[in-house]
Amino acid sequence: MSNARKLNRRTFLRLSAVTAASAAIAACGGGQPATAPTSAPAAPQPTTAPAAPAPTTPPAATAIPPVTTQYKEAPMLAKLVQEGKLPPVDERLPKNPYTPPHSWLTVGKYGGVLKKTYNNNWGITGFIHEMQYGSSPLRWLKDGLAIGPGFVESWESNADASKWTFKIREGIKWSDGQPFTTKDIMYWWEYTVGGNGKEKEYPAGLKPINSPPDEARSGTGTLMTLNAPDDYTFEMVFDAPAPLTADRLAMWVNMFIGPAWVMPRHYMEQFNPVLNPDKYKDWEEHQRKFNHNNPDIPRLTGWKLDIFEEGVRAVWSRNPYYWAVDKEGNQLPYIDQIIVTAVKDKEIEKLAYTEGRADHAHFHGQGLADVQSLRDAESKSQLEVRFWDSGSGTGSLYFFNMDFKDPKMRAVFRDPKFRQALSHAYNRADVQKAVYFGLGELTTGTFSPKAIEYNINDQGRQVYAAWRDSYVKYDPALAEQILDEAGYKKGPDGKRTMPDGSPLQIQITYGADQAPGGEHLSKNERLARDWQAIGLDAVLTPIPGEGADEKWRAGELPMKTTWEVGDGPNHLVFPSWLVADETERWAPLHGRGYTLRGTASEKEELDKNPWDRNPPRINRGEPDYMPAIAKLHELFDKSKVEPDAMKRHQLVWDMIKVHIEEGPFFTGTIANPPRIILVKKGLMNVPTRDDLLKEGLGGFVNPWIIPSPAVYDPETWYWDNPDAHTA
Amino acid sequence: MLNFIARRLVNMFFLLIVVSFVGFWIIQLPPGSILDVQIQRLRMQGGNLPESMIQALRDRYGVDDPFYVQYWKWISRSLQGDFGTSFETDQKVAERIYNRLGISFGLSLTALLFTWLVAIPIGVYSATHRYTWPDYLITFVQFLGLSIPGFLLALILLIMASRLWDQPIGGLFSPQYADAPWSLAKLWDFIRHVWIAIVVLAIGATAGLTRVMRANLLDVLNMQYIQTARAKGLKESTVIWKHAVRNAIHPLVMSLGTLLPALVVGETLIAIILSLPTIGPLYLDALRSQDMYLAGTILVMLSALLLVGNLIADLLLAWVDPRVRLE
Repeated sequence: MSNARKLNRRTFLRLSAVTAASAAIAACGGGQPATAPTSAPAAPQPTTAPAAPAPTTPPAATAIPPVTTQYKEAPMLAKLVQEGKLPPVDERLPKNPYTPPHSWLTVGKYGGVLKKTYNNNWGITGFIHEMQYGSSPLRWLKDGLAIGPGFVESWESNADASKWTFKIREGIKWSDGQPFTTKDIMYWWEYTVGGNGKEKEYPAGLKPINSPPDEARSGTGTLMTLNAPDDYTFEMVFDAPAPLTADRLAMWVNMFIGPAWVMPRHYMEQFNPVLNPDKYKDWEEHQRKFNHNNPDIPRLTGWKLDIFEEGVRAVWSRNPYYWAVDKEGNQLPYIDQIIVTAVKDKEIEKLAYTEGRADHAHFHGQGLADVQSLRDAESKSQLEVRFWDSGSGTGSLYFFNMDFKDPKMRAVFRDPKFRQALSHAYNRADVQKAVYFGLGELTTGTFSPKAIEYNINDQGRQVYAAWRDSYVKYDPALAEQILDEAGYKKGPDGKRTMPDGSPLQIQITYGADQAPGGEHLSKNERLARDWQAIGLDAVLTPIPGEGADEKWRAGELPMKTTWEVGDGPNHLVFPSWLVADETERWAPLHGRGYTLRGTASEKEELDKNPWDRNPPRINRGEPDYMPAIAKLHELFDKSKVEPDAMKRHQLVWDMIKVHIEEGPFFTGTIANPPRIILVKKGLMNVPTRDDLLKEGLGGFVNPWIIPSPAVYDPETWYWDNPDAHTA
Repeated sequence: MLNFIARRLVNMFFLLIVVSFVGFWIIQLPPGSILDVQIQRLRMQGGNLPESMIQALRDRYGVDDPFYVQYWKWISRSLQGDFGTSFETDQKVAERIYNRLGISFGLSLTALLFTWLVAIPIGVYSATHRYTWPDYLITFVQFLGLSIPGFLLALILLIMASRLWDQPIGGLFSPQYADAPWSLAKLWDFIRHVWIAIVVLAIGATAGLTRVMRANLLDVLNMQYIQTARAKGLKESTVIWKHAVRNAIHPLVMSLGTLLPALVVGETLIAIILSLPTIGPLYLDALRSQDMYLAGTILVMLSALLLVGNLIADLLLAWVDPRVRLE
């Protein structure tokens, strides 16, 4: 593809040079409609056009003797350079290329193919994109303990963190050879988010396709202004401190997962309905092209998609313009191609592993229950089973709806004593043994134990231990005692009732599509058993499909039981488990009220019951507004504008104190069970858990915001014997 | 005749509109939407999605629109030939279906031909040689074929193929041939992969069909006109093939009516196990994830095939059996 395009450009340049000889140069340049839309990004090349036919790219006719270059490249690219189909490696790399800093890295060998398999459509392109960190401005290092440069090489903020300045590496190119500049960021911000007030200029009726991400808002919630003083500098200007900006820019792999941040302007412009109002009335085509499964879209990542056959396979090959080198100056990636085969069924995917038909697997498909069969097959499949820490704070968890519609049941759920008793009645060790093979540590349920607030100093470690151990003890007698004292006495039939004597039934709700025998259902069955043992009428209640979200938000469902807390690397970049700031977790109506603060709806429908409002919500100061949540909201609001990191940690610890005293609001099983990683023998530079421990925390693979394995730079992986790993 | 066909076609059009409406309504009945599926995927194992991104997705998929708005958006454009975009992959619905249609039809037609070519002669042989040891043998094999579930057979063959012939798991080509232009080597590679699917698809169907053929023929052979035919001295082969089989084959012809849609989605379970890119698994996924436009379009396509299949069956029956009148 890109070769064809390059030839076209060269022919065009020659043509325009010929025309230039007979006509006025200016007239020619302006009269080519084909280049008009891309004139801005293509700028460097047209400027050289009048001088000679394409001196920047070596003409095909002249054989160039190999010159010593500063950097080295893969043989397949060297060949293309020889043939004149590709500029030399020094020109393809930026002035200051990125070098992955991990301590376990060795210098590798070029070549070979990495075979992968996934049991869904999204996997064969989405998960491969998730493996590559190349589109992210900054990068998490050391499992979230540090932030390093990405395509942004340096950054700084003013004293109160309200203005941030970022420098992009000069000379990065998209996978089609076009320069990557701040224009590609401004395009995303102005022409798809509608930022900097551009939304007003959109054609009537057209709304922006992307919404502003968290990092685009200051601590008080107002949008930033994004400036690009030159091609390699951009500034984020806020009206108030935005202390988490750098953390948030390191989150996600970006482009197609998480907020985009970068879009290849020269390619996307032609599909943009704002710029082509006559051609497109909506974003459909733009969205179709801006997709990880589109082979035509230029990328910044180590591999680019060559072939996508939906439901069949995807083929990724090295991006000749990838802007990273190893410590000896070899351009990355080492591996030529990633070939991903689609299978339709999870068991068939497992069969592919036990039969050794794939070279690598991240944990998504395989659980701990599969370890035995994968290990048994190891001698045949040559796939080594490795474990990386998940960083989960809870394992399979449960929580009650603090905003349940039925007032009597709500009062029960909101009673800390009730929740504490139920936590003590829960035999976690049994679940740990049966479901998690004895792995992980028992916990009441916290944020990820990898979170920086728990690892920064002794106080942090104490806070973590205090929360983890707060209600973890399995003690049915204590549980019964607490319930008795709180008024949930046993009736004549031996079943506990509400304090007023009316019947009390706990419905342990879960999606009916949950796999029987899976992690969550196995836990739920034991949970019901344990609760029945202390006299509670607990029933397992499957609810239809995946579509319970609406009901949850309206307070119509009592529990969620099939989720887990995996967040980090710090509590504040994704605080939703800690404070009720959205609608999916333990206080949906409080969360909705919080998101609507300062908007007109906060003043509307005040005469109505919170559950009858549209959308259902509880505003601050209302009788249903829980004091514990009020305290959390208040601390959270302070943390958002606090530029000092240590003071922010203190605020987080204060919030955790609320969870310990008034909680648990969500209840976990075990912390930090490992995840399975499969690595073919001979695939080098894939870290072991020990490697990860030396540098960071032993892995932190659960959250999407610390994208794994992208954080460990799969571009550095190589085959000890590349010739044995061809397609 | 022409009048009959024209009338049926007009009826068909209106019937399809009704079917599409009802189908679309049923598809969206279960609570939730494609959005929940997308969110759940991103959230897998504790991952997270900011509220702002969720809202952007809601707007994009129009999941907040009432059902009739969604339906109108889709049907009004479908009538102009644009079936919309699949939510799951952002590809055109028509493109996704088209990519799989060839393989679906090819596979099922091959299996069908295989089935009929095997089932009819064997059924006839079995009926005419009732209670002889070849008949017992055939019956035994038939019941074996009927009682082994296709998916199990597929799994067994899949593992055999991997262990004995070093074939990759599933799919239609080995990686080295996937991009190669067609050649003898590629054809051989294709056959090495596709035979499992054809054998699995054909075995169950063949067994069933042979039983039906045998039973029907046995009925017919007891008829008086067969006796008459024999009595007037016709050759035995003429008696069987011209007089008996032609009358015994009615049920097979009538089954054509339901055959066309079955050709497209009949192999779903087997295709899932063998990772074949056919319509069946696509339809299942679309229904499960409420990929509305995709599911709706396939539904209408299947309904159209059912109606066309019935029309063809009626015409064919009239041709096979002069007693049937179309008017």
